[in-house]
Amino acid sequence: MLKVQEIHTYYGESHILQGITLEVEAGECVALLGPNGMGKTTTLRTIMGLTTARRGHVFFKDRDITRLRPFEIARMGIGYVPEDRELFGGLSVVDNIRVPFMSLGNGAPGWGEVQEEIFALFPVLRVRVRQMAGSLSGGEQQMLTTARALVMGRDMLLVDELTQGLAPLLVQHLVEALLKIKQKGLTILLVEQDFQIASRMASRCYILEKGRVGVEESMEALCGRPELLQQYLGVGQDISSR
Amino acid sequence: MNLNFIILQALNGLTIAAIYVLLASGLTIVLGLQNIVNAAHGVFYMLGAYFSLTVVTRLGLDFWVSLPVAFAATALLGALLEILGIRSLVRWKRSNHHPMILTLGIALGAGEVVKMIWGAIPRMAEIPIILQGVMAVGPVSYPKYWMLVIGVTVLVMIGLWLFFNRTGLGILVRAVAMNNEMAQAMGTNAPRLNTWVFAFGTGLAGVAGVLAAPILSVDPHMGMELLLILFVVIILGGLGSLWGTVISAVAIGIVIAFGTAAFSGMVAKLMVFGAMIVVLIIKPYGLFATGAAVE
Repeated sequence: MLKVQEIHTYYGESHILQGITLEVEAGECVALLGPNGMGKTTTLRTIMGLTTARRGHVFFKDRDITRLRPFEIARMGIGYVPEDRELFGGLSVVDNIRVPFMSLGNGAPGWGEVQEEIFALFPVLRVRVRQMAGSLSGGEQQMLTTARALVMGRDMLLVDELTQGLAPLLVQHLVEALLKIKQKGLTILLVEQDFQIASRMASRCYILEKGRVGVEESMEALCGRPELLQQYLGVGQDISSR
Repeated sequence: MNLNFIILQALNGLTIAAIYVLLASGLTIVLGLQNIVNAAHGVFYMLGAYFSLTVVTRLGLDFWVSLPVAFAATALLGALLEILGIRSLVRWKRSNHHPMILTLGIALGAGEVVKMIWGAIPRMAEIPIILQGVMAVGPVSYPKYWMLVIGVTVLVMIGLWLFFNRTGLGILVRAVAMNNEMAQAMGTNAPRLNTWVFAFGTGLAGVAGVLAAPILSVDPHMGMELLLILFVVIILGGLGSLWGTVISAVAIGIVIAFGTAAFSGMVAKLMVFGAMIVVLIIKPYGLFATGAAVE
């Protein structure tokens, strides 16, 4: 479904992505791993069109989206959960959900249906429906930003750090919600710092190193090679994932 | 200094404020949305006024029809400016400062073009016949037409409030103002929204011009003169804040009305600038600054 071919992205003259190639098949959950500063967020941003690759191509459903604008890419069915949530703080919870809803095309579910889908996954949002997004707790904000992305992301979700800084109970809730959606067939590309979480959700992963793909491996195989985990992710102890 | 005097000057202040509000709204919304200073805003105001003078008076166009026509015409011109001038300039230069210089150049040039076509002598449009005369406002008599100007402005402001708070499109505009990138990542065609909003602002300026033509002097410098006060209005009110704009416009309008009546026009303007200095020392971002959001 998603094919990234040798993309090079710069911030000014800083050569951040130095030839990233990766693929995500329909229905898969693929993890993008690696320490900070390796280009994981930049990769997602480039796919989403928020930053444009200077070289290389991004294909979504066999269409070249490299030079498309972010809203055109979103409308193709890709949802984006940014690092730092980036909610519309001055809008209420329901209005935050309304924003992507306004850009859904014909044949999309109605407003009532969209809300129900979201409240079924994240019941606490129903309670906070008229509250200002900026006044929600951290966990609620993360749920809202995930819910918001799901409205647009009918086919694929790009997730940048699902659970950073959240309490274990909330982490559990979010992971379960995402697994539920994945079961319905949603394709997910997940950037995660926490290897435990990534291994629970993803079947394959790419480890980025200095703007390039250092390792490409199935999650099962990776878990069985602690020396790789240690080398690339600085993860020491024995990891039993599933 | 009696009650009648106070009411009269208050009404004068409100009429002046009404024109300011119509103009400053467009300016502050665009600023909050795109971070662009449209120094040519006054040009659309001027065009509206001259439109009223020539087209309306000469062709005998009905006053009520002239308002939406002027709106459409100046909105269209504004859209052209936004697409051809501002959008391409921002993308080319990747900065928000160049459009300000471009629009400033347009403003200066437009004044000269208008001077060439219509001459520099100040004129005044005629008040439409049905609206001539006075009406009772409490204990005083006040020109009907001036009340109309206040009335139209109130309606427009109510409409804007409803738009931003009760319509989906209004929510989109606010979202883009808060976070352009994320709004786009959520499927919003932000560039097109920017154009529509910009055009609406200039359209409103054109309407203000038509409304002001029978009250204020119509001359090639009317745009530039007003621009200065407009910036005081939006800075005092807080950039991007509609409420702030309304409140500061009313405050400034009343200060100017009372100041002009009690002392002179010049003293009144000095008082306004003095007040601005004081307010900015206490609240550097204006009275109701909300960051770059439209509230």
